[in-house]
Amino acid sequence: MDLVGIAPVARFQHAPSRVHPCAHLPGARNVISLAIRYPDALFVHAGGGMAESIFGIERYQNLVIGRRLQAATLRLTRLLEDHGYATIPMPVSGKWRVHAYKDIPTDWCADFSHRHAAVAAGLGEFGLHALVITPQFGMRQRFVSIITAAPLDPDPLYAGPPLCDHCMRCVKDCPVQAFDARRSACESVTIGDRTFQYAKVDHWRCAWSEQLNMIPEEGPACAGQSLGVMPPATGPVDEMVMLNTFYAKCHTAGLQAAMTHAMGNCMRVCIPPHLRGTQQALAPLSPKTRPRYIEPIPATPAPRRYHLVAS
Amino acid sequence: MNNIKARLVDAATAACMDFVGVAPCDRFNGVHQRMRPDAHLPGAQRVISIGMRYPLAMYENAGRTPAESFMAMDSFDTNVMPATLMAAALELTRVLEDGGHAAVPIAVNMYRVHPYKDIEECWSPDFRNDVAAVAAGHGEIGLHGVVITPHFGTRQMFTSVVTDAVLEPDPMYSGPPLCDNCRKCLAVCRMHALDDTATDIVVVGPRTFTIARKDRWRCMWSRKFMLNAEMGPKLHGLDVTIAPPDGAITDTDVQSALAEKGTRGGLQTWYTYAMRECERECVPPHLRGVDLLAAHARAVAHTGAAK
Repeated sequence: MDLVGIAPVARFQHAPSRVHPCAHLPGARNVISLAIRYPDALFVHAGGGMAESIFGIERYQNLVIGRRLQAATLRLTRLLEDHGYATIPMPVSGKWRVHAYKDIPTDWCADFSHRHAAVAAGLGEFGLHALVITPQFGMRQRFVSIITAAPLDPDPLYAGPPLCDHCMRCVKDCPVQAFDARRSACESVTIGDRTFQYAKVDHWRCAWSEQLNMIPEEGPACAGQSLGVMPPATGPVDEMVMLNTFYAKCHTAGLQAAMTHAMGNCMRVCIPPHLRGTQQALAPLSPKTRPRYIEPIPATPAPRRYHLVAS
Repeated sequence: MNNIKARLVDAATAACMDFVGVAPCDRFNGVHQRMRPDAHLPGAQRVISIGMRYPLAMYENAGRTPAESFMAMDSFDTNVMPATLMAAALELTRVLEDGGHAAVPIAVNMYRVHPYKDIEECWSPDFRNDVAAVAAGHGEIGLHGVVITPHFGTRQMFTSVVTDAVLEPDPMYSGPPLCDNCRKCLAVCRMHALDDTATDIVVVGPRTFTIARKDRWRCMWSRKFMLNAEMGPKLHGLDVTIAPPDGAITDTDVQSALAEKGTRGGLQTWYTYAMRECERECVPPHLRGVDLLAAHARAVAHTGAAK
């Protein structure tokens, strides 16, 4: 692990009750936040160079780094259990309640937020994109958390220079317009004695690319998937439209649809002010062959057909 | 640099790797430009090839004993070993980064299904881990197009780390030929994926290997999509074989066959495996009749190293 920090549960006082540490472990006292950095060259060159490949970042992010994080949480959990403290290792992100659940109003909500835990443990702060930026690695790490009843010395919240200067790159370069960064739309979250603001994220739009790989320019084109579908330009994404479209895309894109990956531009373009010039920037992917876009498939029970957009 | 190389070898050994070797980038001049080291890392100087043997008794006995099971082979071949290899590659990457060197760990088992720009082949990886293994001195490429090592024959898996560190290269293998063209690999492939008459060449550094031309779609018909029961699924109770069409196989052919397999095979289609008998039947000349496990144990006792 490259980063480790400890957050007392008191810093989660404003968390929704079902994703609060004590919702998982009654009597929880602390949350341990861990992170491992991405190999910098793997991150920087993903999709670039002559290789134009996204395979490495996909496999290492989802398989290798994710497993290593979980192995670390298991080891620490066993260590804490050996000392008699109840401890729960949380899984790496990738599981969500897609819809609002009981008193959780948010969709695409995990049962625990590693992002908020990382900030609460002093590892960094939120960027405008609602993701965590650390002073050491900027955006280039992945987090996981452990909830424990052990009394541990807490780490202070990050108090250094701002890690996000609202350069707006993440907002401008998001092809699915998932961010609403208007001041009136921004969300506010209080952790400990600090209050953070970040853009409102339309998780359906984000998932349109990140989970369903429907935007070739965010990675799938590098695997040869030249077929894309844009979400509706404005307004909410209809779930059945999304599903219909996804299945149609997979059917038309063929077997490659099962072997691809999307690396969000918000991840690629964000470099905190103090790392600019140090951390190598990534341009958004721009495949030389223009993807062919089809229109979303309606949610109506009408027969599926493909509406080709002139390219 | 030698100090870093020693640390890399230590890290690889600690991560269960049986093979670790270093290849200079000019040994990759014979591969497609998009699969060369500098296509992944501008300024690349070396490739570190790491490899891990299959559990030997598991590999030999899979599907051949009264258990009639490929479940362990499935788990380790598709899950545990790739994950262990890539975890080791990540560890080596971190050692290199700690020393101030850029490094890119390479993925395994990912493919571009179709030709991509100037890459004409289907089912192509983004980097040739097999070429890297040969370039790093681990062995040679056999008629089946798979790496054969003097230690374990075909019974290992490789991945690579591309780096700008100028490490001391290892020599390429120069021992007796590891493939004598016995052609068993061609004979045992029920998909007839290996062409009996047409060949291709693979160039690694100064060496050229002649391999049987492989129809990758026919290979994947069994290997990835498990559409031939005799190659493994039958032993898990899935007795559904769907013959591929004559000639070129398309995505649609595979999708239709998978749909039919699912309909006829039910839930068992989720839990099965297809053995690559072209690799298992391959035993290099010097290892025929040799107890691989005993030889390995003797080597470990003699050298203290797992090779």
